[in-house]
Amino acid sequence: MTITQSTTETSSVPEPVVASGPSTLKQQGLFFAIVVAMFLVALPFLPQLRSGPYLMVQLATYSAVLIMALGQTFVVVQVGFDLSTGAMQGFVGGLVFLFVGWHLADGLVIVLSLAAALGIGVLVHGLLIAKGKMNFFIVTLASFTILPSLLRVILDGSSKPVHSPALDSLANGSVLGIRTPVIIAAVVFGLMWVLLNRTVFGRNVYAVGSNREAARLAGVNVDRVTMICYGICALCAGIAGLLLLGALGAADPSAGLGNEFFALTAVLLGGTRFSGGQGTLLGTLLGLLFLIVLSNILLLSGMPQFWIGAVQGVVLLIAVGIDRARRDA
Amino acid sequence: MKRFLTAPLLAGVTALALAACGTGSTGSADAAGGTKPLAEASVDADGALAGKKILYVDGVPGNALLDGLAQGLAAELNKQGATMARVFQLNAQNQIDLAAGNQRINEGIAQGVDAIVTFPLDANAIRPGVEAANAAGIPIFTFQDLGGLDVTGKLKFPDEQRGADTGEALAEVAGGQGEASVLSGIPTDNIEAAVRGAVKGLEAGGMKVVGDPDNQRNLKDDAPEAQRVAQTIFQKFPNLRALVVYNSASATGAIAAARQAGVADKVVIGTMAGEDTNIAQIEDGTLALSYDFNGLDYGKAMAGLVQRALSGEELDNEVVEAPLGQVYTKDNVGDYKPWTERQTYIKIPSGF
Amino acid sequence: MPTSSVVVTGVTKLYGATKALAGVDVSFRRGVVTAVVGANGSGKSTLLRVVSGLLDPSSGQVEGPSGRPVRGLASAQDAGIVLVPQEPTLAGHLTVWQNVSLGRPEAARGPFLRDRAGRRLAARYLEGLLPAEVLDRVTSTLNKSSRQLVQLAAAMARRPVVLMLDEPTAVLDEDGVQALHALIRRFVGEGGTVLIVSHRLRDVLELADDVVVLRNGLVSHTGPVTPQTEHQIVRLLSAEERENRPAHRPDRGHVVLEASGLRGWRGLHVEHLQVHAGEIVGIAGQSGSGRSRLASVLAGAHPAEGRVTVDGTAFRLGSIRSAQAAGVAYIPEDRQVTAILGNQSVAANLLVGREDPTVRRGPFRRRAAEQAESAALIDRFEVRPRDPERHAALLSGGNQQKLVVGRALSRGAKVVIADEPTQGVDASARGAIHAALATAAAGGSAVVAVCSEFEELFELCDRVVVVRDGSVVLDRPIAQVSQDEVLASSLGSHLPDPTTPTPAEEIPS
Repeated sequence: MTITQSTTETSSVPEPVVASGPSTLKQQGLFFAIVVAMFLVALPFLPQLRSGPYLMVQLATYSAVLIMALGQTFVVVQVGFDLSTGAMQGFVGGLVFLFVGWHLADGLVIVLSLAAALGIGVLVHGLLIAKGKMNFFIVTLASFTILPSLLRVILDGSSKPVHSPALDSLANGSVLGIRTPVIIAAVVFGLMWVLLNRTVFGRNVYAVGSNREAARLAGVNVDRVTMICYGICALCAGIAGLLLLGALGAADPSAGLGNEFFALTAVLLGGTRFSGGQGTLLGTLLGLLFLIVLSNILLLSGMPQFWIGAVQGVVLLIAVGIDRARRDA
Repeated sequence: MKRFLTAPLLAGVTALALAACGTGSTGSADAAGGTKPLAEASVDADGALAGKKILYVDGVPGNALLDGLAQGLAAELNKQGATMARVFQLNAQNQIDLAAGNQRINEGIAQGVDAIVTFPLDANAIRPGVEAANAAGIPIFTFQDLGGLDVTGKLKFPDEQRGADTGEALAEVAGGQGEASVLSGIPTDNIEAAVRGAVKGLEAGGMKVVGDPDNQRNLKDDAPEAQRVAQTIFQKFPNLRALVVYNSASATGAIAAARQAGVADKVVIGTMAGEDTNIAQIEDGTLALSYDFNGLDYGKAMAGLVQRALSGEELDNEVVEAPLGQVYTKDNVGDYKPWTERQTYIKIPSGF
Repeated sequence: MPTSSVVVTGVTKLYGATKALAGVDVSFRRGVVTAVVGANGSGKSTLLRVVSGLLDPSSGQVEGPSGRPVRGLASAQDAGIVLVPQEPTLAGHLTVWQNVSLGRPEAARGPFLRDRAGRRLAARYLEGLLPAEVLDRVTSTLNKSSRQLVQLAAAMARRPVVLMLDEPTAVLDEDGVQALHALIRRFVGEGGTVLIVSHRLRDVLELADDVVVLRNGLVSHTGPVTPQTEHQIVRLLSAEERENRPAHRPDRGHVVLEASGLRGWRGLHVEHLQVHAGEIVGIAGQSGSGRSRLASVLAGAHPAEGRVTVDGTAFRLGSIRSAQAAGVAYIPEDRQVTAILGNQSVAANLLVGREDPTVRRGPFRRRAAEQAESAALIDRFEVRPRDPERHAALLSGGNQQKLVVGRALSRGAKVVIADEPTQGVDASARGAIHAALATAAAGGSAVVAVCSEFEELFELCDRVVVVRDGSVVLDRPIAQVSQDEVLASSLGSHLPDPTTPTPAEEIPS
């Protein structure tokens, strides 16, 4: 085909461009408004929320979960779910403990740990799911049990202190008044955003999630997209693991477990669908901010601790329900 | 087919190899706190309990406190000539299971053991097993004095006293005035008692206890969750001077939270149940004190109880108080010896 | 005589800012077949959905046969209005009779199912549509045509007063069409009301008593069908059809696509096949003959043994990316399942899989170039509405297909493989797609098109290849073959024709 210029060029009377339904930007604007409104309503009652350092601590605390949620967003958009991100977060702590025990340099420890996480994501999860045609739930469920088990083996079952000045400063340091975990999360967010929104790979992630077979027949290397997504997800969980280890100063045998669901909740609140092809990183960030504000309100207001999970679950149902109703309308 | 299978296989093997290196290397790694390889058990064939088989139904593996109890118990029983096997209350998935203890006890009864010792995770959950042992005429003993269990004998933990000692000592470190709080855990009888004691101890030491321990629980029993809970406590009570936590991992979490919240130099933290890692934290100056209850002694005290029963003494719900432990602060931390150095740890078989 | 059965008054339906219906006033008579026709996106499907209660109108009202307003699915069902959608919505894992009797009160006693009654009920309604043997077949094992007939039987089992059919003949085979016509005549004879939406103008006008022509969401013509009006309607509609189809190329160039020794699934067995530059080869054959399989193997979409070359260079069979690298573009069959990214934008649908330097720089997208390219493709393939950001699922079937065709033809491919390129699209989209394929051939591409309709085969193609049981049984220039010959060889029955003997073939025993 050599003819690319259309003959309609001269007769291109501009037709009215019609709107394409509720835009994702508008939805996120609304969600952002809800988060801000919740915050403002809580402000008079909870003086802590007015303290800058307090808010910074909150952001620093949840930076690791944000990074996990960003990685998870890739996997969910291409249709799937990595159940093992929390387990991976803890497992990387165990690897760091090992490598520090071998007296490796801090930089090498970080690189090796992240490489291991990436490797498991791409070569175990990605390969088995994409090429092996195994169900993503089963594959990552296996990792969800294998990784904590290996972690207990490595740690001999108990929490072990890890002295790593580099990780300590990564997790506890601050630059110009901003805590380093927040900076790291911001950098990861920026990189991931470019990856998802400005690269061919990112567009393919949406295409694969929207209709895998159609994407394949259109020439997208769908298996590679899936493998890279699981790799990104595991790598993000690995970064979160380094931050958690740095903050605790110890490798804990149950570290990270449960965070996968917290991160996933943020992803789903942010408008990403299990059905795939939809979702944004900004939505995930807003979803997490929503959860942070909510849990702060619940904790600081003295809500009985046993009830907090129930309230969070109900809020998730309401938020997703409203979203659905609005879409169907 | 082959191509895609080799890579995960390789990765899996690598991971396992790493893990294996991990277990091997912990012996030499400084960070690990110097776990020595376990010695073989040696049973004194001429002891008073020679030939007796004792089953210990323990909680979960990999817990330093439980390991201490088991080691103390095993060492003393072996010295008396008895052999001891240690099993855990885990289900088929290797998860903690409150009901699995009954299964273990029934297996012991079926094997014809001479006595059963158990560390109950829950009084009600273990009751069928205890009743089965009673029906079979096998003496059964429990660590902790749990209400309503009809056993041969039990070792009562001085939990409230442990809490009180910790609270009072921490109040002293904190200067005897200001606000203090307690970070609690999963509501078990012994944690509840210890927390009660800690509140009393802090108050006796002149501090004002703020916050509600019932609402400040580390329900996951690990450091990351403790970090989150402690963070909330520090935010709610910006003038806090002292925080008592209920276990070792919670101390690690609370220290991390204090650092993150920027209150590490204002708040002193103490744990009611310390481990070797907490001693390192005292040396660092990040932890103010650690209560070391001597699990080995607890185990030995239990062994004494077993020996009494097997030597023909008629016991019925006999309660023995476990010996008190010791508070370590930066002043006496040099005197501390890890449990593993107080006694040679042995390999305890999992069956007879 | 017949009075109005359904009365639509001032109905508008908005999708965002788009008016799918812009104030429709129309009534449908009892005992009469009314054809609703109109170009792609004229609002005919929307009208059908509003009347059947699937969609609530933004304003206006629909009155059912009883004179009561219809709003929502339940009230439409109460009023006896039943829609047979274009795509079958059957439970594939249930048997045919279970699907037909599903939800019928006759097939249940309280909460319990009465299987025998249900089966009897299904047998009654399937009579004349499908042989009784299919009653116990699992529905998903039937072909599309039969499934559509099962759907029809299920609709009739609801004892409709008003029967609405959306493109009923799109997937039906010849017998099915006959059965459908008989059923419709019987139904209106008993006083029922029938609405048919279809792009096959001839089919509907043959059946219809009344016609309603929609244009841009408005009724542009309504009245009885007479020989005079028929002509008028065809003219009305074809005004929107493109007339600029390039003439067929008289000369064909060198061999571009060459396949040899193909062996594969479902008995695919093709010794040799050549397609030249500038040539459009139509692949004909019965459904299940392997015609689609052959196309998908040539496109690299499915693995097979053998060798396929493009300009002498072989690509790896079963690797769509290898085929694309060699210069093959593919328009797959069944766009909803295999081609359209429903919740992605029009632009994303046009550009997916494109990795050429026009739209990318290294791993990055060139967004300005992407916008320019998608705008150009929207213009070139006349995608409506001209909104690159609209989700593809919101487009009409014809416009969706234009996206798929545009995606394939925008890559400068040497070979274009199109599997049923105009299935389920209206006349104007069909014209546009045919023109695009012809333009590609004129530009030097070798085009292969699977055509199940003779009309398309003879209108579009230069050469016909008939496939039966996975093998090529006829390969001849279109000018030297008749419809009957194509039909006969695809069915495997010999037509005595002394002048042009068919190639030697084996008839499987």
